[in-house]
Amino acid sequence: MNMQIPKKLKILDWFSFFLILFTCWLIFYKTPVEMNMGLVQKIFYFHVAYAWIGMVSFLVAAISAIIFLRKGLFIYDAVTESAVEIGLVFTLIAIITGSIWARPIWNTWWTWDPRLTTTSIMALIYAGYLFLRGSLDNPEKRRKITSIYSIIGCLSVPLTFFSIRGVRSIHPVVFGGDTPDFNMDSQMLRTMLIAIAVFSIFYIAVMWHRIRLAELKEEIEQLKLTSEEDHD
Amino acid sequence: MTEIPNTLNYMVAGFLVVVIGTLIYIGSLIVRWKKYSKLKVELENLLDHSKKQQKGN
Repeated sequence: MNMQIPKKLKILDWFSFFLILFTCWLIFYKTPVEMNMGLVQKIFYFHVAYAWIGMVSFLVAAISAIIFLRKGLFIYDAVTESAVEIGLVFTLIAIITGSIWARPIWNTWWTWDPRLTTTSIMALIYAGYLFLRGSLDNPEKRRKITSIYSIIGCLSVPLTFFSIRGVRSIHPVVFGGDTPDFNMDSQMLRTMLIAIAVFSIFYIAVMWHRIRLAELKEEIEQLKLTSEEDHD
Repeated sequence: MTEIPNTLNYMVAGFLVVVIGTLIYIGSLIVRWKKYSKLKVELENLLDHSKKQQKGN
């Protein structure tokens, strides 16, 4: 494995960095302030993008796990592991920003609303994935068991996404919803879509780095095995 | 006309969570990469050394 960061990845890193700066400029200077919530509503653009990417990442993990179980190639397991880890980070940031947003709007840091509850369960399921992965020593067994776990765990993603549709919830429905206290004009909607697209590019860059790390870890495991065989 | 509520502090807190959380994760990737790179070099050196020893014997 080449230890140098590939040129394409470097370009992607810088490209996503400047796109994030551009998105911040859009959010803080170009998008109007929401009348009912004030400036705190600007968290929304990050919150939605991070929550969305978190869920997409868990789907990526499940798809990759299915392919791994069919083909048995290491790279798909690396993608699953990377997607779960990054998805969990994005989801946790979405949960914390959501809580900060909720404080002045709902007058509470936390409520057991369907969306908040299902998102927390989803995060706990994927935290469990990482613990399980760390607890299994046999690489082959670890890959198979965690792949099955991530496929089953993926059931929590649609459950989270649809948790506020068709039930009573105080959480606004952003996609295809009609929440009365949430006045989103076309400029806000455009900024939200740009934020999702930009953070998706950032996600690809981070995934690439994380997969390279998983490959490096695999090489070390192989070297350790060779070294143990030599000693025997 | 209704007054816009002052929620600037919450916006700053939320933005800091996004920035700090993301930077901590990127930092953890860099730290782990450096740690594993060092370990890889050490293991390769160890293997080279044991191969040379085997040849010498």
